Amino acid sequence: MYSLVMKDFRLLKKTLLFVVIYTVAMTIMQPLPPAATASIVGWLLILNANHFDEKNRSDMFLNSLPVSRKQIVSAKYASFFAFGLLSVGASAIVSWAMLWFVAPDDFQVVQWQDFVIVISSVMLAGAVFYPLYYKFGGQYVRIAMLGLLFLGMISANIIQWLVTQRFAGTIGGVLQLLQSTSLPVMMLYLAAFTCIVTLLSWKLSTVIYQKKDF
Amino acid sequence: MEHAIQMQHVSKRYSGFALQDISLSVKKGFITGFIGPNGSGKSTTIRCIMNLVRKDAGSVHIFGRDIARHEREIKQRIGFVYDENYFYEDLTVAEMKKLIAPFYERWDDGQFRTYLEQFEVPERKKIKELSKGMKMKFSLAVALSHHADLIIMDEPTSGLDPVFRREILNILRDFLQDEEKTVFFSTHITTDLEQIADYIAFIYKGRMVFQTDKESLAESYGLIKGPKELLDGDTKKYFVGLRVTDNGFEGLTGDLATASRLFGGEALVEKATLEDIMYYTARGNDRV
Repeated sequence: MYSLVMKDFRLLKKTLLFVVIYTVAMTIMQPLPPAATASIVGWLLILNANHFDEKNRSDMFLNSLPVSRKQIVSAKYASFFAFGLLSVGASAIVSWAMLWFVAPDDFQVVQWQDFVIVISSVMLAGAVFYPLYYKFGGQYVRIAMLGLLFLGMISANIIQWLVTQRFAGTIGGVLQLLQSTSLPVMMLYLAAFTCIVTLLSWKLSTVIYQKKDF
Repeated sequence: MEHAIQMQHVSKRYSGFALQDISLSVKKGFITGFIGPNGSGKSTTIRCIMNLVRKDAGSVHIFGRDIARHEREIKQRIGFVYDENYFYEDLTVAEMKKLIAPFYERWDDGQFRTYLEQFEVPERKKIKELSKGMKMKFSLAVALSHHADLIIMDEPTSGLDPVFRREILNILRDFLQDEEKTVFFSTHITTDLEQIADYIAFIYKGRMVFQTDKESLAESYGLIKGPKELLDGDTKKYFVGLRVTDNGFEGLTGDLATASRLFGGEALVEKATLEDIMYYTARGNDRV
């Protein structure tokens, strides 16, 4: 399985160079919080690794190697974790270096909770993407992902409308609960939620992939 | 005799095509050629052997073990050559090798380099920059560099010029110097098999027509040419396929000994090539 994960990194060699440049630039300019910057990098790595596999119809190649289908799927999920860790790790190193040398007063350094947030966001993105990709192919999933992105862009307005108009009581209660929960506990909840969704997604992807013909 | 591959009663149904009750035995230490017209089920059969498609029924055993249950161990011992390029096109030959090598316990870097030099495949070129023949040679170099006991190839010579094709056949012949090694390859270029195959399996419209050694094939099949007056209900049944024109007939018989006796000196009896066998079996008794 290690070889399968390494395969993704070998394919992404040129993308990784872009990741370094992007991370340095975004960490210095900070148009977004560090967790958002690193999450975008992680999502990009997932999509790019998938692009290489799909472009080369690599399932045929991978399945002729001495690996099982379950290992191929499992390695994908291991790669998501590695992508998340790599992207937040790169952000952390750059931001700590900035802090050491030239950071202004309002400079946001990568905190421990950013590791949980970024790895979770990257794993959750992969957990949504891959079962759909295995089932329907890349073309449809990319359309679905664009839809999700659009939803994400308008979600702030939707949430605001929901809070003020429809479910003020319920959402207010949830927000109050979140505010009263300590950061470590909240991160624990997030990590647990990510683990459950990832496990379910991995199981679903494995079942779909086992039935595929190449 | 020990078998490298044993397929028993394998079926696979797609919309518009079905592989029906395929049984096939590939003997260890020999080259078995797998022939059939385009679309007859060669690639699907090979994909069933490689566990790339899920069969509806039947079993596939390689080296005596079920491929579905011992896939990883078995594939360590198989070198697979694809019908087209499935490698990552943006990687160079050297990068692709680095990606593949860790998967094989018995990967031999020295062997790989030797093959690259022999085939004159440039290490620094990207896969997409290689010609079709070069891609095939690279694929073959990969298949031969992890001490595989069985080489499975899906149409390796298709689309290649005669020089490349001859080179590939020579490589296979060298590989077979070790009697423990086995080669199974599909092709619709039957002349390739006439040169090197020990056994021939013939598939048509998703059904196995025959599998036998090349000598038996030459003994059983023959091409008979003669005046059409020789044809009647009784004599026609000795033909697998017939082509009747105003000038006479030409037909393939699968019972050469009897047909020779029957037509005696009245018809011309010739050796049938694999192409004749494939053509007349595919054509059946169509009249032209």
